[in-house]
This record gives sequence, C-alpha cells and structure tokens, in this order.
Amino acid sequence: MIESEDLTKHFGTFKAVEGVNINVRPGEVLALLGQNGAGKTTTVRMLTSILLPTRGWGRVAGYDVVENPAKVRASVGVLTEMHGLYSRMTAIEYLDFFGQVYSLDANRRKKRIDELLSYFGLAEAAKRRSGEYSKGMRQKLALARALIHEPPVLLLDEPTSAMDPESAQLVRNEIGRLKSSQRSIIICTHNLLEAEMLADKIAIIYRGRVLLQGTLEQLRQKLLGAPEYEVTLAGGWNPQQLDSISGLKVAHFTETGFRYVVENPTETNPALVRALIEQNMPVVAVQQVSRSLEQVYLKAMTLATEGAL
Amino acid sequence: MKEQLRLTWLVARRELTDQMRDWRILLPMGILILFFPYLMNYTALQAIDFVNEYGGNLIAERIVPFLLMVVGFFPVTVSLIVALEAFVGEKERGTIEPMLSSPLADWHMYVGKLTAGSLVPLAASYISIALYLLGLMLQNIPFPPLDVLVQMLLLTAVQTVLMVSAAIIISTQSTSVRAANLLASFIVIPVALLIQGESALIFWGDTEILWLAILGVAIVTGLIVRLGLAHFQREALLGREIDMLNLRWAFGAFWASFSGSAAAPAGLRWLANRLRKNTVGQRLPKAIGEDLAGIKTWYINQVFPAVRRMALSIWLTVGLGALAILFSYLFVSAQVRGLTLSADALNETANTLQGMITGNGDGFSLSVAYLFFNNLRAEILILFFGMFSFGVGAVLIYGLNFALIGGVLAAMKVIGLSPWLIFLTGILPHGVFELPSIILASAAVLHMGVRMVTPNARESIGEVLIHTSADWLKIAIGLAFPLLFIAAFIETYITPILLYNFFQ
Repeated sequence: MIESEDLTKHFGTFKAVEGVNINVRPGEVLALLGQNGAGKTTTVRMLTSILLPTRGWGRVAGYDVVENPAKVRASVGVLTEMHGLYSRMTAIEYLDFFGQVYSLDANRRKKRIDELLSYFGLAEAAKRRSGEYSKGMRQKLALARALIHEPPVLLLDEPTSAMDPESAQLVRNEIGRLKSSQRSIIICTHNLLEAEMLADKIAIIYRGRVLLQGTLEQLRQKLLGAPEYEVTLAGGWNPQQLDSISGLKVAHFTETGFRYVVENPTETNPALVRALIEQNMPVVAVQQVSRSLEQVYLKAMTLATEGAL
Repeated sequence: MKEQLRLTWLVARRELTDQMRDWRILLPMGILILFFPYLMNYTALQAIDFVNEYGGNLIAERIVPFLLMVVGFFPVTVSLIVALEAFVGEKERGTIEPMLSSPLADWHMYVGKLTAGSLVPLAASYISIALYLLGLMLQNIPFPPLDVLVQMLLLTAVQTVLMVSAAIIISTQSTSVRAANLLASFIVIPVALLIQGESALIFWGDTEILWLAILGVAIVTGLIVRLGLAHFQREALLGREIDMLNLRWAFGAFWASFSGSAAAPAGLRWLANRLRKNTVGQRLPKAIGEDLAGIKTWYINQVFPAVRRMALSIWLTVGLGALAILFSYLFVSAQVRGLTLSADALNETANTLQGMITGNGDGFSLSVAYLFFNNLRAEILILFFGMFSFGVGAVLIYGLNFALIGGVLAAMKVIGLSPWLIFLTGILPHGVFELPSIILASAAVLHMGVRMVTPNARESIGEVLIHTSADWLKIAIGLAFPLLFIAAFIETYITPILLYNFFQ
C-alpha cells in the first residue's frame, strides 16, 4: 500500500513537488507520467525516505516515510533512473551484497539469486563483471536487485528502458506477476504504451503538481470528451438516410461510413444499430475509435502549458 | 550492535573489494611500496655519508626518522583520491541511489567508507615502513629510537584518517568529482603545513612536543570524523544540485544573522542613494539617528541571545582559564626556586613604571592604541586558529594566555612579592574588562566548533559556519572589543600608577 497526502518538497525557493495525493492499493499499478524534471523522481525519493517532505505525509507498506525510514526502505524495491551497478562486481556478487544489506540469510540469498538470474536470462553471465554487460542486461540486473528481498512495494523508474522487445516483454510479465501477488507498484515512465498496458491508474504530474489522476478511461473522458464510434458501411447508402435517426450526432463522414460521439454507448449503440438496420443501411462494423494514452497525455500537456488545467 | 557492525563492515568490504580490483589504485600503490622505501634507504645512506664528512652526526641521526615519516606518508596520499570520490563519485555514476534506498543507516555508509578508505593506504604505508626498516638493517644504519618509531607509526595512522575523513566530508558536500578534486587543496595545504611542522620537530629532536603534536592531530581528526557523521545525510547527497559558491546568498545570510534584519543599515542606504545621485530618501542625520536607535534593539535581540546560546561554552572557557592559572601557578611555584629581587631591580621597575606614567621613560611607553591592537590581535589569532581546529586551537591559545597570569603571579611569590597585591594592582584593574573580553571571544570560537560537530538536520555545514561566525562578530563588536578598549585605557593610565605605588 502506498499513500500520500499533500506530499510536498521544496529546495529553497524551488518547488519540486507540491501537494501530491496518491493511493496505490495492493495489487495495483500506478503509472506516474510527466516531463523530465516534473517531480516524478523527487516524489519517488520521498516515498523511499531518501528525501524528507517539506510538508504533508507519505505511508509505504504501513510505515510513515518520516517516522520509520529504515522500515520503509526495507519494504521497498527501487529501480532507479540510472541502473546503479558496481561495474567491477559480478552479477552474483552484486545481488549477494544487496541480499546481505537487506539481511537475507545465506540460503535465501542463494535461492533468490538463482531464481532471478535464471528468470532474467542472466545465469550464463552471472560470473561476469557487470561492466561487461549490455545496457539491457544491466537494466535486468538492476531490476533483479530491486526484487531480491521480495518487497511488498515497488517503485520502478523506466523499468524497460534500453531493453530489446523480448526482454521488455519479460519485465512486463514479471510486473504483471508481481501485481497479481498483491504488490503495490509505481512506475515512472515515458513509455506511454507500456503505461497503458500495465497501469491500473495513471497520474500526470506537471511542474511538481499532479494534474490528473484516475483510470485511463476516466482520463479519456475528462480530457477527450465522450467516446467516438465509427460505423463502417457497405456501398449503396445515402447520408440523408441518417437524418431520420433521432439522437445521432454525426461527427464526420469517412470514406466507408461515419463517426459519431456518444455519451452513453451501452444504451445508445444497440438502439442506433437497430435504427440503421431498419433504414436498410448495410452495416459492416461498429467499433470504438481508439484513443491512446499518448493522446490523453499530449492533450493534458497542451492544456497545462496554456494554464487551462 | 553486532548487526550494526556487520552492515558497516559490509559497506567497507565492498569498497575494499572494489579498490583491490582497480589497477589505477593498485599500480601506484605497488610502485610506492616497492620502489620508494628502496629510494629512501639509498637517500638515507648518501645523506648520512655526506653530513658525516662534515661532522654533522646529529643531522645524520635525525635524517633516518625523517625519511621514515616520508616513506609512511607517500602511500597515504593515494587515500585522498579514493576518499574524495567516495560519495560524489558514486553519485555521478548513479550507484549511490540503490544504497540510499536500502535500510543502511547514514552512519553505516559513512563509517564503512571511512574504514575502507583508510585501511588500504595505511596497510601500504606500514609495508613501506617495514621495507625501509629492513633496508636500514641491511645497510647497517642504526634504527631510530623505539619511541620515535612508535610516534611515526601513530602519526601515519592519524594522518591517514585525517585525510580520508576530510576528503569524505568534501565528497559529501561536492556535486561532482571535479569539484571535489578542486576542493582537495583545502586538505593538501594544511596537511603539507603539518608535515613541515612535524619535520621541524623531528630535526629539532623534541619528542615530547611531537607526542603533543600527535595528540593534537588525533583530536582534530576525531572532530573531523564527528563533523562528517554530524552532517552526512542522504538528503544532502541527492538534494544538492547547485555547484557554485553563492557569495551573494552567503553574505545576505550572514548579514541577516548578524543584524537580525535583511535590510542594510540606514546610513549605508543613504550612502548608496548618494552614490546613485538619488536625492530622494532619508537625510543623513535621520539615517544615523535610525541606526543609533537600532543599536539597543540589536543588543537585546541579537547580542544577549547569542551570549545565552553559548552559555555552556562560556562556562567551559571560564573553567579552563581558572585551571590554566592554577596549574601554571603551581608548576612555576614548584619548579622555580631561590630567586630574589634586588633593591636595584626593584628601583629599576619603579622607574620604568614612573616613566610610563609621566611619558618620560627610556623609550618604553604604553598607549591605549598599542595595548588595544595588541589584545585585538590575540583575539583575532584565537579566531583564526579556532576556526580551523573546531575551537581546539582557540582553547589552547586562550589557555596559554591565562597560564601566563598564573606563571607571573607564582614568579612574584618566588621573588618575595605578594602575588595577591600584584594581582590587585597590576592585573585586576584592567583585567576586570580584559579577561571577560578574551573569555567571550574564545567562547564564541569554541561554540563555533561545538556547533559544527553537533548533528543538525536543519542546517548544512555552510549555514552553521555562517550563523556561528555571525554570533562571533556580534560578541566581538558588541562586547569583546569595547571591553578591550576600556581595558587598554585603564592599563595605560591607571594600572601603572597602582603598580608604581605598590613597588614604592
């Protein structure tokens, strides 16, 4: 569980983070999106008890970030923006070092190291120094470090950056598995497709403030308005036939049909399809026009820059 | 406790493993260990042969321990490079954040890195010393005395920890390895001066003072380690992103702390307006009046609270002063015996005092300015030595000043004069003002050192230095310097009359 209220961090007169309220329940993934320097890393650092909040509070795995910093840090697995590996240590030595830092006994350390290296495909390179690793291998080793002590909370900064598609898929699968084992996870990422795939909730942070927060659908509704549907028709129909269908607001016509906006698709769409068929219109398909997280994010940024959000 | 030590050693062991795998550390260390002792053996042999030709046996004798110190010191210099990048290097490479996100406490990391930074260079240094001694044995050059040998081994150890701990502080306060390397001169220069001083002591052959020097370096090293522990914080490592000396901010903070207000004095504002040829604003008499009226407020809101803040330091300083007087009085009384003051000497003293009173002496006369600036210089010296030694240097100079009083009084007793009467006529009249002045000025410097080594999560080292320097200046301008001036006036015009009457 990750909670914060009015979490704020000022560096002198610079307001890095201002009044952040978040709530990530066990089994939930929150994607923290924002430009570079928006305050994502500072927020994560406060939730890891590295930085003291100027105002507000945060609670991670039940521990207050100010009152119980050691317990917070013991409960969190952190993947930092820079992988942070010691280049002259082998993967085994590196994971063993952090296993000892987290006070795992020798048997458990060995078991976890074997499991993680094998899962991330690093077993063969386990005795090579990490300085010789490719970027993707380093990222996987850093992720393995974050998971070594099986923490209930994970704070992951760009978890799949620099990875090849197969490795990225592997990491996404692992995050999915961790989510289903009731971990609370925050992902800071610029990879919006990944955020869309993994996140249950999304928070968009701009100049230290959380502008918007909610499920992807809630953000779509709020920023892009009601959903748009596209009707694909076979040839031989007349646009004037649509005039007699009450409640239909055509947004625009396409080469093969038209698009319309609907506030309540579950009620409106069946009636509309019936009306189209009654009008003898050759309906081939009715489908929602996809609206990606990227559109939502870019719209949010535009509105924020204009001061409209 | 066992768990705490395990975690500290874990950090140290990782660092040590890293060092032992880095050829850039191992190679120079190896060269210094293998080549340098041989070179110093050769140098010792040649130097001894050379000075013996001219009968300089004493110099030859002292060259051996001096070169021993040199042999021990050179491998230690490598520690500086390792320690300087201990934190800031990890920050630059991004390896620090996983450590900071772990359950390790701040002090586990600090002490772990301090241990690792000191161990390898110290081991290299001791191996070098052993090889040097082996070389001496093979060349039939006599070993230095055992106490000198122990001194050199201890000196090498405390200097290593001194350099490493100072470098780690620089590393925690820097934003880049480059900045840390540039700041290293703040370690190199004092250590170079220290080595020169130690060399002089070795050639001088005064092992007792060398013991004291080792003790002094050990105390300062302990205080630097304490300073590092007090100010090492995760927050400071990642929160500090600005890599420049903000003099404007520093001066503003100092002025606000000193005056209690961010605004400049009215007189200065008037002057600034004049310089800008701006005739609008306060007139000079009004501006001066405003500043004068503000003095009382300044005393109430700034000076007296500063005195209250440093109450503990003041009591400590008073206690140390009393002890210094007592010990020197007892020491001189016990050591100096059988002295008498002849009637001629007594007359001569009386004549000198009469000359000072009338101004018709044989060239020696006192003036208020002379005495004031002489004592002012002493208080500035106390500040200077105290600032660079966490108050230790200040306390030493202060103690010596007070010891002089005890020594003089004891000497008076030995020659048959009443120390009480000397104290009442020659010291007390101006001492009533001079002694509180020196006590306050020294206590303010001691307070500076105490505040520096006291853990404080709300202030950085720079902020503590600014606030305590402002406190020192408040005490100096508000109390110590005016008291010195009054003391100088009394010492010039009243004390000689009282003393003259006493000697008559």
